[in-house]
Amino acid sequence: MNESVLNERKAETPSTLRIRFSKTGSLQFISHLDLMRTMMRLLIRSGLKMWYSEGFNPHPKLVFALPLSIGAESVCELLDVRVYGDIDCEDLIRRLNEASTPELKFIEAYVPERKFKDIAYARYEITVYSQNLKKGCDNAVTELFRSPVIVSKRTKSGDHDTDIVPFVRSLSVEFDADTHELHVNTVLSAAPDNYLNPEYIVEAIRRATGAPSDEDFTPGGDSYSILRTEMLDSEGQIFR
Amino acid sequence: MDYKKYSQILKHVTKPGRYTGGEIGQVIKNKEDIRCRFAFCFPDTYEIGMSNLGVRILYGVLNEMPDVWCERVYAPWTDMAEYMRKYSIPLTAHESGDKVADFDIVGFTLQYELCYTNVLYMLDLAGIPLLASERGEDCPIIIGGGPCTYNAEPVADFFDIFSIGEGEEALPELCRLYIKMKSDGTYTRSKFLYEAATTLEGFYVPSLYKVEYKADGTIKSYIPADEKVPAKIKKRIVDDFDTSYYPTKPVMPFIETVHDRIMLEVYRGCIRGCRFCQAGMVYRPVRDRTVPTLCCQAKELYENTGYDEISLTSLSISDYSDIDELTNTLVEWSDANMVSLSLPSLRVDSFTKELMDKVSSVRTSGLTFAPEAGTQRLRDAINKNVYEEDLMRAVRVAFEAGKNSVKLYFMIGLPTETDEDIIGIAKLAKAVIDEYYKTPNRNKKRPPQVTISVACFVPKPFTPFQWEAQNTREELARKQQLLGDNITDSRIRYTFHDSRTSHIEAVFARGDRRLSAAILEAYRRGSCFDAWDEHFDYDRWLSVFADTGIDVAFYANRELGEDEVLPWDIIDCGVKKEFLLRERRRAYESKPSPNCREGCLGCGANSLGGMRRCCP
Repeated sequence: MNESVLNERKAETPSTLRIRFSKTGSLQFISHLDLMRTMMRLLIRSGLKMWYSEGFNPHPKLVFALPLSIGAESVCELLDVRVYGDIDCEDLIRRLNEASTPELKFIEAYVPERKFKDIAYARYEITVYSQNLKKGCDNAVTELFRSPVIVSKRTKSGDHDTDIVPFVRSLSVEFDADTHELHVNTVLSAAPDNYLNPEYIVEAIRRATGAPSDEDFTPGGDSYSILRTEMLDSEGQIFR
Repeated sequence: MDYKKYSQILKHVTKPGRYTGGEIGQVIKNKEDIRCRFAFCFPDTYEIGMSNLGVRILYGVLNEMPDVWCERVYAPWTDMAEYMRKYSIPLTAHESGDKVADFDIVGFTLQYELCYTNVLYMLDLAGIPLLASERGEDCPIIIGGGPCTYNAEPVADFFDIFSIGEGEEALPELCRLYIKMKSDGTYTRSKFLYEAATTLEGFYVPSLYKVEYKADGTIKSYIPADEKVPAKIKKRIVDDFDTSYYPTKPVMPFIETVHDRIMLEVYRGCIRGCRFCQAGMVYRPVRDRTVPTLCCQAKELYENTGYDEISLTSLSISDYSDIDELTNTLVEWSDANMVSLSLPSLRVDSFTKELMDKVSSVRTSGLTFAPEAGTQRLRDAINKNVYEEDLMRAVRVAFEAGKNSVKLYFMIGLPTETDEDIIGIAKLAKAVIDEYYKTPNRNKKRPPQVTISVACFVPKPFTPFQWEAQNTREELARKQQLLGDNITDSRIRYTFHDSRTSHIEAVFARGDRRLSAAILEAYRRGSCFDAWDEHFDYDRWLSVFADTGIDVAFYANRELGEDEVLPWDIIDCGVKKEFLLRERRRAYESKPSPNCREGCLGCGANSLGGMRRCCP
């Protein structure tokens, strides 16, 4: 790598820039690792003057607030990148969106005041669709969460039977009998050592209602979607 | 694939990003403006297909035409195919999600012989009849292209037409003909195929030829349907390679693919003429791009992709006539943009400290060279033109730069090979180890490691070795064992290719039309993804060959007669048989030949034309 370029950049002090973006539609099937690679290329294309690490393989450093698992969408993803100089944030967002696709949309960029470790919760909208969902299924789900819900939870030290109810800060359920859709709006713990994957909520809904089916994958049949809408701090305020 | 409709399945298959599309750079067109829809199929996984430069070029060329829409299709992995079969989901194109069966033209690129069953796998998933003879007027035209079409006879029954040679100009011509015949009402499948074969250049329609065989199983003759049908199909080349179309807005895969970087196509063909190498013969004449063109393409690609690595693509990059100027100009610009340069296909005789410094930022811990054979005698016979001193000098440069590991590629089963040549591989590897200890300022932190990777020779059409018999599997196993026995140094790692794959490859490489029945039967019995170790089933292939009356040894282990009619004689790839025969004689005398720049051997490829070609 070119020494002079690195030295030139080293002379300045880098600052942190936070970018909010959405990852929706078919992009929900792109893993976190793949997203990082795509993000790197889009940032390079935007012409953003990024800080590069030193060493054998210099590269910019991207830090994502809360990795999203495959199969979940989000309109509130946050990413920190170290940059040089004054950034015209609106112009940067415009350039990023020009290079990207609507399913990976950049919303805003700003200089952050808080650290990602202050994120305590995340809000999700979970929708389950099934012709087999019947009136009263919403109450069944609400009822389920009144007592412990034990699932086999994957952790670093292996699978453990865990009660997920303590991870649920709030949960409201609504059933639309016309569309056969069950809507769940829930706030789940998202602290680094206490993260609850929203898939466990889907698992709980399946236990209470039998939907979505885990065996029948008929196109257009049972389905569910997960959308992350907000990241919150320990007070339940929107994290920026 | 419609992610909403199939979300449950996508959540349960491996790498769902293979199927969802929506990539940055994909071409979406308004169907109302389109008069020819082209489905470009790659008969392997998305990750492999997305890495193919040929597909990138042809996708771009076809989509330059306002009334043609080219889309991509890949082979779904077997877990996805299971769901597709269970729920009657047809194979669809990546961009529109429309059924492949509803396209006008469906093209397959045939990059390696072991993808043949995957062509059937994809046709089947698309709901298109597998045999060309069973397709009706409503079916798409199935066309094949790529390196395997220099002998496409084993898959002749499955294709309506083949495009021979470079497709940048040929495929648009075919689309034009299709649109014309559709609009003036003269189109029928057979009329269209006949018109393509008789009025366009470089198209081979197998159904227009009758093949007769002799009692001994060899071919008697190819009889064209009438006097207008060409007796030989001449390969197409792009006349002005420097200014020819090059895609600078490629589709950017979201998921990791095999070659995920900028690829600059520096030149086509190869000046070397290694006698086992098909690519070195069929891509002649050698034509290159100029430094300004390449630098311009590099910058444009960088701006459009954000890739941080540029790979200079060609068969042997150091043979590019302006390699110093090209690398100097590129490095100046790429360093300033934190882009690294990689030079695959480096020959040992061209590997210098200077060149290595330019690519020092490449993220690789070791270096790879291909001496191909263990003794000078055999390297001369295969015309590799590499000397032991070259290799020692190259590894010394690497060791001095702090590298500890070197990988060496070899081949066994080469014509004229003796046990001495096999043992020579072990000796050469040991000499590299010794060279490490002779290098004063070596990296002493770790011991050296030399990896030798040994492939099995497969005789390929249009090479001086096309007539040679492949060693039997027993003989190859004996040689693999002999080499292993002669490697006594624990710092030498020895790996070798499975001779079973090479054996099947040899059958297809020199096969004729009678193999189509066997490939169809193998597919019916479950063969697909043969290029993948976990799916390749050698015993099934042997039983299929036995049941369909195919003598494996007739194709793989027989020395072909020099006066025999060969299945690929129907193709004119520029290089003439007399030249191949001359080179074969020289191999038997263990004599190397000069490369194209040192002196013209009169191979015949210059008859194809081509601007800026290296030959007279």
